[in-house]
Amino acid sequence: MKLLVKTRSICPVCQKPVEAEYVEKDGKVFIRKTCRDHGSWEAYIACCVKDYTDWTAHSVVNVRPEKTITKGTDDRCPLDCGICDKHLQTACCVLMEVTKRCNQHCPYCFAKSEKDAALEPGLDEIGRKYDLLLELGEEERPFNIHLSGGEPTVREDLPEIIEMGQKKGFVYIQINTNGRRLALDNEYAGVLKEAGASVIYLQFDGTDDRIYQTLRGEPLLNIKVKAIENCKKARIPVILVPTIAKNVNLHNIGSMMEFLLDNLSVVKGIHFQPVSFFGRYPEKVYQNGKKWTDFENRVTLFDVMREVEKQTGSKFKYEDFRPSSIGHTLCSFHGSYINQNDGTVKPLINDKNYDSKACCCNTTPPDIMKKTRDYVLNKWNLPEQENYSACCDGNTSESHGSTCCCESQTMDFDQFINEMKSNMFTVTGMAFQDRSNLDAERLKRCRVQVLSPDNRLIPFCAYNSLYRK
Amino acid sequence: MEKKQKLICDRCKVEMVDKEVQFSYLGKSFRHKVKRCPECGQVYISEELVKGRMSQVEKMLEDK
Repeated sequence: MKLLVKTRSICPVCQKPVEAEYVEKDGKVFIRKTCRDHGSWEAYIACCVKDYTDWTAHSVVNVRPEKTITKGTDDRCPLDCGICDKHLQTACCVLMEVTKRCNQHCPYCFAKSEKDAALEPGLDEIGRKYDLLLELGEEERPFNIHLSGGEPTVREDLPEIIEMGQKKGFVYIQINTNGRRLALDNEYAGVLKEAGASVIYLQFDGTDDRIYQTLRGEPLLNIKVKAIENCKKARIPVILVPTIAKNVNLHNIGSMMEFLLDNLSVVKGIHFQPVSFFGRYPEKVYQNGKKWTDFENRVTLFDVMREVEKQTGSKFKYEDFRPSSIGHTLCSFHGSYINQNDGTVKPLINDKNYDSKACCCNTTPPDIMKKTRDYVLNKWNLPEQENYSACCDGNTSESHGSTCCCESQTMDFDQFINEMKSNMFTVTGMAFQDRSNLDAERLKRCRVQVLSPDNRLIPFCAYNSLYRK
Repeated sequence: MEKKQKLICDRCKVEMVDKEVQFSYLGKSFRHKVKRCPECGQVYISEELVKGRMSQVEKMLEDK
């Protein structure tokens, strides 16, 4: 056993802050911690120590929030969230939960949503929440907004909520949904698009109904396909969001990638989320003496990236992926691609052009945040005209035959913009932390924050692990 | 009626003419017609192009 990095965490039982450490064991990486009263935990972090050390060596910057709400203490993180004055990173995206109701009752649900009605914020209150977010965010570019729940589409006034956000100046509003209403009401995608929704963030756990049966308690593949079809008609972009659980759908990643490539006319990306053990989940950890086991279905970002390469026959490569340049390296990965006519995909950013031209040096903190928030705005959109096609991709290193659409073998700006919007897509992932694997250093750098019912901004993982009522 | 004004290259004192030129950024190339001096090759890129399509392409290609 070799010590890699020291950090802090919490006891999963009493939530007391404790010391923690990343260690190497049998070539793999784990986070370990011990509570004097409740025993010791070891949670799986990476399948290979080299992946972990290379990945965490990427350079990252942090942009502190301009305004904070609570006062933090270094060794008490995450017990003072709010966002506290010790927090190192302003939010890129803020989740606003507009309801606790849901039209599904999934065995796995981070929000522990129920079908029954519960109190939910009215339009006036939501307006005040938007105003608070405008105040807390940077003037140059407000936070991206993620409307979530529960299932936001159960609210009849969701279009008004979206419209209000747009009018107040939020340029990017994505809708987190299971897609049921989008599938069952053919006009609904158009209504959301008309209201100003930027992207449909669609729960999509795979291409096999057995997966849905396990994660969602019912077969839902037809619902997902129909929802995507309706979004295509309404011309609103879709991001597929699979929750990945080791023995449930890790094996299905290759098939999900094929589905993505078959639907690029409306699906602009896939965003993998390794399952987190908070909210509702049917799994348990067991105590063996003073030592606790990890969850059986635990999957890491490294597993996902490696499986993407393996299950696509190396069409996509592990080396294509990068952590975000802000926040913490262990929280996310991303890769941007262009689908090419010859059946291959081409990464937009690779080793050749990554370090020299695509980094954020020489830009100011507000510029860095604007660029990060704009990433989804610029990458997840559809071309003006439907079914746009061009015969080349603007890459001058490739030769084109006499049938090429561009006389000079290079596209003009308009052709290029349409071509990119048609064929560009992203492959991304985000690993949320639960009480077992929580790392206070990651939490301090969290850029996905929840606006709580009492109007505090709380890192997503801390909110779901500790603060959700 | 739209007023057409000539653009003169300050260095060569000759009228700049329409010319299709190639731009490259992050391994991608695009062509666009801009004003170019026939003597020294200096080009004039309008604010409209810089703030419009050029900026749009830049944002689409850049990483975060």
